[in-house]
Amino acid sequence: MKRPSFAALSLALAATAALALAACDNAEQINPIGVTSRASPAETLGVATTDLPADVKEQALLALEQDAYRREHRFLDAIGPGHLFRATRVDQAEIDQGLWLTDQLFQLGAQLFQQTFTSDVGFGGKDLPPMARFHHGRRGGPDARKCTACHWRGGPGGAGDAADNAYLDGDGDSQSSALARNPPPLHGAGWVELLGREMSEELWSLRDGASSFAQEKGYSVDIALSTKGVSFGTLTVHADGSIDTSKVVGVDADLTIKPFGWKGSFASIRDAVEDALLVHHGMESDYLVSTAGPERIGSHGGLDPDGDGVTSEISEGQVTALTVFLAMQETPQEVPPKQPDFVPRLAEGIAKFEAIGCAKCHVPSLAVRSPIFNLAGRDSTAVLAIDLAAEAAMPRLAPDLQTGTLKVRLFSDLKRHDVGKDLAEAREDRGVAGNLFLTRPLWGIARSRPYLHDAHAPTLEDAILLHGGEAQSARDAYAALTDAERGPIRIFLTSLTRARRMVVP
Amino acid sequence: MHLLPSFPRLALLATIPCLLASATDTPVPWPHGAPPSSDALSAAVSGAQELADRERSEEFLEAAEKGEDGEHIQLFQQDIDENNYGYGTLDRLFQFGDSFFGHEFRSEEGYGASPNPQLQRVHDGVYGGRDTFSCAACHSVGGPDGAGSETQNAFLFGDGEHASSANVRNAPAVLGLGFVQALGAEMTAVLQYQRDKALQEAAANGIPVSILLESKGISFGALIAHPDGTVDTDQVEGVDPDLVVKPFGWKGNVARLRRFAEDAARVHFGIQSDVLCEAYKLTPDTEKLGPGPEWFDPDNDGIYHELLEGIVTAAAVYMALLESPVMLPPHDPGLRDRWSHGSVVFDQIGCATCHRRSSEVSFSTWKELSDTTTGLPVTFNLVNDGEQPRSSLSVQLFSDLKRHEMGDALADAHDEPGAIPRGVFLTRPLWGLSESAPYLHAGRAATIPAAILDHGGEAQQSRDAFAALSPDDQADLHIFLLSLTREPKPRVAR
Repeated sequence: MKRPSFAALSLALAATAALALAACDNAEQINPIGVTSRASPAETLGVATTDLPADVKEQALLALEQDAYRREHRFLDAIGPGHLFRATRVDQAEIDQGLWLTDQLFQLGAQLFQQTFTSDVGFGGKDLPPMARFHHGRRGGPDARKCTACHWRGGPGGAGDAADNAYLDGDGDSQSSALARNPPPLHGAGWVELLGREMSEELWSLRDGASSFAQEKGYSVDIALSTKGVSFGTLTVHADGSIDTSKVVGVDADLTIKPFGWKGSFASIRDAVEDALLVHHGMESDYLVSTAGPERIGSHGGLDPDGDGVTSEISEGQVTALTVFLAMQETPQEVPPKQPDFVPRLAEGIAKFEAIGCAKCHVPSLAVRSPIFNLAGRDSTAVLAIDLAAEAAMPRLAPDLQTGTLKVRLFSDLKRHDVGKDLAEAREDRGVAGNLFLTRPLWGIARSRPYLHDAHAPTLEDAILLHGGEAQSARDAYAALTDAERGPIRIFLTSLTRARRMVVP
Repeated sequence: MHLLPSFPRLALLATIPCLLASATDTPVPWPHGAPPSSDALSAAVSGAQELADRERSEEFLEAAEKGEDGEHIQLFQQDIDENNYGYGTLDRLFQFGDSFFGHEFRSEEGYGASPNPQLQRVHDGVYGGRDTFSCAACHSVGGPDGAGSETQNAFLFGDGEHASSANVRNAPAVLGLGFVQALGAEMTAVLQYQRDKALQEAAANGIPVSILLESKGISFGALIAHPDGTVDTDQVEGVDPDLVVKPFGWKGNVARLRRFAEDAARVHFGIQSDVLCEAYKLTPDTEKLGPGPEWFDPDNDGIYHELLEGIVTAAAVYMALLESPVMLPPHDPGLRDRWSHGSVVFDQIGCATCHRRSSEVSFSTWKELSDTTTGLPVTFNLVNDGEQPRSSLSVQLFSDLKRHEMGDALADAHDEPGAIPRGVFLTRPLWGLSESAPYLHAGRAATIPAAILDHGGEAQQSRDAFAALSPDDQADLHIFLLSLTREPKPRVAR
């Protein structure tokens, strides 16, 4: 791990000088193509790592070390206001030139994830209230000053509690006007996006193939849409090339899998991150400023559409760093109980989970073809290629020893389903009907209480029993079990957790 | 898309030559000057592992048999009184309190007043709301038993629906509270003694007696005792006419940890304690507890004994025994100099007038009395018992535990039940400050300087003095305040 220089800053220099030193500091790092000049003020501060030492004492020491850096840099931020935020200001051009290692981008993203956004750096907007617990339309709150305010449960990048629920697209004041959304855990997000990308590509290729075929043959064809064993209904392609998507199910008409958001709203981490920065913090990315409409970014126009006097609140490079950080999040683990008599019940639980039909939507595993997470800035010509199987935060997913396949034990089909009236909302959310939700991945679920999109189920069992719609029969089958028979299923679900990790604080 | 310009000075800065050797060798800025010893680390790790093992095992027990979890928050006061099963020991009480703090209440345990209720973030008057399922849920900032983030704010005394109808409260950390409770109780005893003595004197001499109220060096105004036994409290300042110093709650509404825990469970989860039910039996407070009709189930959800008195006691003992905040200056010598200067600035501009640096606890023994039984109190030593680190009897609280008028800008949007005006708040203790952002009662200040600048009313002068400081002096004070923190402790993420 790179250690930042405190001797330099100990001189309690004016912020500008400190900045200069920080820039030099970074310049000395090795990078893949041997270029040694970086102009941006970005600086890794030693507060995050992808490591997870096997020895617990080492883990604790590492966590204490990171905490020491965090504290000292907080003092430095007091003498040089903006020090912490500047340290996250990485330029996309430098990333494109290969001046930053993946691991360093992960660290910058982690710093941004912990960053307190203040009005000095663009928090909020002139057209927004200082804080709004319930959002006003798609313009958002702001409702939080940092990502970690709502992503803390279960460890770094974790879930939010019920109290942390976001209330989207409301009237700005009343709870019932808004859509309650519990902050989901972010673990394994890179794998989820990769799965979504591969599934989308396969669906597109099915569509495109059928389209050529229909036009060539001069008649309409129906094609079953299926990818990674998940069916998305059928598509009719007419001879004139027009496409009928009325029988497509579980995915939008564009056949793009959108695995992020409770209702499947975003195809990429990058999109989700930019929206979250916008609606929760009023931090507007360069990309949104140049592309989004006033209903999302405000109506002051120009380079400062939220009118708060701060331009370029979030640079393209910062979005990339945050995306890298999330894409490289650890993979949840399946950890059996230590009680020996529970172990056979765990196996029984897995079998029952499948037998009563949970696994139809909560598909235990989906295979991903390639672990390479390609990431480019919006305008980039270069692509950052991250090998998640080799570079992601520990513990990371490894290929199966025998077959070499990468099985993502996600427990989701990444498809939208009707989950019945008890869970349905009275209105649609970004074009998705009130009763449709994306199958929630269950990996790591023991560390992300409470459950469901609005967090109103304190236990797994409450969550199961609230299922309906397409899940009605599985739910009823569960309800028909005695408590003793339900136990193994609950034990199995409880085994879906995250690796134990020492943290400070 | 065009790239927007950022930091135009950078081109210049990059040309400044590097003065330093490679950073890789720089030492870690350990807050205590050195890394923890191997033994200290082992002890910390094994403690954390043990707790995590226990919690994980309990998680599976609950999975195997529903309701297992609930047993960790079943504790009868009588079992404490008689020390049955060792439940009266501090270790066991601490464990019960810890379980209560982390417990997620469910419908079948009395959560809310109907099965599977939706959350209700805006409270319905004094009855409360349904904010979440556990205490730990809103005390996640800065570590376990910490403060709340802005998203975890509670919206009190509202209409049950509109954020604008409520008074907003950010959850404070629950550390070191045994000392705070003791300070409050001792100050109360002194003030009430002064009052009672004045009443005796007035009765004996047949003329009104006017006295200045003062405890632990803090003035609480004056009162006049009349020969007929009545007291004129018009001149009393910073405390209620009953002269009970109430150090808990942003406005200083609660004097005892047991009442604080009980009320939090009621307003945030709809969990009603047996002690509250007993009171309801005598005088049904339907606004606070619900329509009944049965006194033992005021919220009429069919669940009785939602919170046993033993758990209320355990919660009080737990909070009293939690670690105390600490002061940890910067590691770097240059920063440390600035920290020392910041400490001087703190006094110079008058912060310490209300944010009084320290107060002495006179009696290190605390006796936790039960409400409904006649058993002996749970007795412990504030300094020696409980989690490390612990405060000494000289408590570096940075508060006078007195209420002050803070000006219109900070005032609540609405009146509250009770007579505390909108702009009046208890001096917020500053210990543990840097791990408790955001700041102020509604969490409106993201940073310490922003919080200072929001002060008004009685603090206007100090606030203005801060605003008039040079940026360097402001930064030094900021450094000093950032040193009010928590001991870094490794724990297992949960």
